[in-house]
This record gives sequence, structure tokens and C-alpha cells, in this order.
Amino acid sequence: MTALIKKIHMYLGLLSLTILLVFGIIGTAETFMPAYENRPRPTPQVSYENFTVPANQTDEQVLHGAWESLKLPMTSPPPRFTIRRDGDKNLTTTFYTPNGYTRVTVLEKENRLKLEDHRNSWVQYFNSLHATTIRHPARDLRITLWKLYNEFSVWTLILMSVTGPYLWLASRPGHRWAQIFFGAGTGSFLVLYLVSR
Amino acid sequence: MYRWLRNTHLFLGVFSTTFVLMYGLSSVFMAHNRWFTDKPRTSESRHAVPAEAASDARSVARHLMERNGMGGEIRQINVRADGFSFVLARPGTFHEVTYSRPAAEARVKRNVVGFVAIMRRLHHIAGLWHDDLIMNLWGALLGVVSFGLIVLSLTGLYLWFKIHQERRIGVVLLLVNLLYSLPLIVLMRMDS
Repeated sequence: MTALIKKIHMYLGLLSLTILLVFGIIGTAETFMPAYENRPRPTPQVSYENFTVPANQTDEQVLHGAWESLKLPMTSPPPRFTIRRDGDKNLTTTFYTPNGYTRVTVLEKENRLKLEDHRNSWVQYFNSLHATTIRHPARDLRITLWKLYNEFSVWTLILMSVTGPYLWLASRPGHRWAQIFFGAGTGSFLVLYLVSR
Repeated sequence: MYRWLRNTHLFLGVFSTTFVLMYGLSSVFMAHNRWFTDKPRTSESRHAVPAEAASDARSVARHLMERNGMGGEIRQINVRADGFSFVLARPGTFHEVTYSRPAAEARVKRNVVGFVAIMRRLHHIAGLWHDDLIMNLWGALLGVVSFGLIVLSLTGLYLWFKIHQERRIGVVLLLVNLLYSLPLIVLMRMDS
């Protein structure tokens, strides 16, 4: 039994090594970052595309048309809740990808679209990747494949956090330092959980 | 070397296991949110806050913390002509506070969430910049556990490699992982 669980622990670790490193890197990086609102924001890259709004279309249909026209990689049609009007009453929405986001504004009178492209840094990119879960709407094959990998890795993480302590208890349960580390980790979690409620 | 790395893997692993389980479970709660429902329990109360203790939102928050046992991080401050509103947030409890200057009174809506929602919120705590000590402790432990995850991955790789009879199948699994994930990471990054 222990030999089998050891194999499972090891094989799961090898199969999800990349994303475990991604989780580790972004968690470490986030620890030393300032509050979200204080992070430097690079100026977006602005560009324009010609686009004529067809007559008698709803806002949602117009933005769906804009999405089809722009063919932004790794995006999906904008969900209704992302559709807004800006200060000048122009129709606007935002398309998110792991690389960042693009705010699209329909300049109806000018027959064009304004694109503000906000590109993620590598750390932000990894952060987005870790948040690209099975819930994420995707039409792009790469996103779909990554979602599946992410989903697999989450269950892997849960299984490994169970098989790991099992292997300790099955092999060296009396190891004093292991007991101390386990007590420190679990104890600090429980105390913090209780005071956080 | 082997013994030292094996112990490092063991110590970091057993220290991190509860946190890793929390991150794993909360990821499932978020990714499959339709499977889990967790509506907050709410209650309302009113508290007198004298004008001298209400120069701004933070002073009202401080007053409520000291006199009424509330706690957490001050967020979403909105200043209005007749007062202000803000949120006092802990992972399990949100106090939505609306302070009225004319009435010298704070109306507090207390939202208490259950296990699933707390786990989701804990997942998002990061950094050492919070005003609240507890949030900073979570942030610090996230850092320790995350760095631990990197060390665990690398020591785990070494420990696997030292088991000769597992090398062949291990190399296959590792290649499957790398050939699946690395091209995806590169291809997604390149395309924007």
C-alpha cells in the first residue's frame, strides 16, 4: 500500500511539475509586491481599427461584431456584464487573456474602434495562467488545453497534500523535527483560520 | 546530500500540507462554483460614534474596532457630503459601515460567511502591505509556502531521480508534463 502511494505521489509530482513551479513563483512574487492599486501600470499601447456599426443592432451584437472583426487571439465574445458606456457614452468592453487585457471602445461617429492594449509582465502572465481555470470561457485550443492542465494540477495538489503526510506517517512517524514542522504549519493555519473568521 | 534533501522535502512538505490543501480545495471551490453555495448570514446594528471620533473613515473604523469588537482591513472608502461608508474586511466577516454625520451614528451590516467562502477569500490574500496584522501573517505564510513549493518541487525531482527503478517511467511522465505545458506557456505568451 505504502509503495503504491509513494508511486502515486511521485508520478503526480512529475506530471504537474511545471504548474507547481508556476504556483510557487507567483506566490513568492506576490508576497513582495505592493498593494494592487499601488503597482506601476505601464501605459497601454493604443491603436485604431476601422469598424462601421451596422444599423439596428443591440450593444451586445455590435461588440460581438467588433470581436469577430478584430480576431484578438485567445479571446471569447464579450459577456453581457462586461459591456459598458464610457464617460463620452461610447460603447466599451474589455477582452482578457493571460497576456493582459485589451479595452475596446466603439467610436461610432468615427467609424472605428479604439484598442488599448495592456500587456502583462511575466509575473502577471504566470498569475493569469494560474487563474485560467476550467470556468474560463475559451474558444482557443491553447487556453482549453491549459485549463485542463490547471484542473488536473489542482486535484493533484489536493492528492499530494494527503499522500505526502501519509508517506511521512508510514515511514518515519516518530521523526521529532517532522512532528515539529507539521505542528507549526497546521497549528499556525488553524489559529489564523480561527481568528480570521 | 540525499539525506539532507530528503529531510528538507519532508519538513517543508509537512509544514505546508494544510496550506497546500487549502489552496487546492479553494481552487476547486472557485473553479466549480456551481457545486458549492455559501450565502452569508447578515445582521444589522447601529452604533453611536461621537463627532470628535469621526474626523474621517479611518477614525470611525478605529472607534468601532476599539468599542465594538470589530476588526479587519479598511476597504472601499466612499466619502459623501453627510458622512462616509467603508468596509471592514476579514476573510470570514465583512462589516459594511455607513456613517452619518448628522446622526453621529454608524449603521453596520455584518456579513458572516461559511467555510467555502472563507477558503475562497484566504486564497486571495497575498502581500505584506495590509493594515491588518492577521492579513499580513497570511501573506507572509503564503510567501513561505510558495517558496516551499518551489523547493519541494526541486527536491522531489532529485529524490525521484535517486530511485533507479523509477527513472524510466518517471522520465516518460516528466516529458509528458514538459512537452504539454512548456509549449503552451510559450505559445500563449507569444500570441497577443
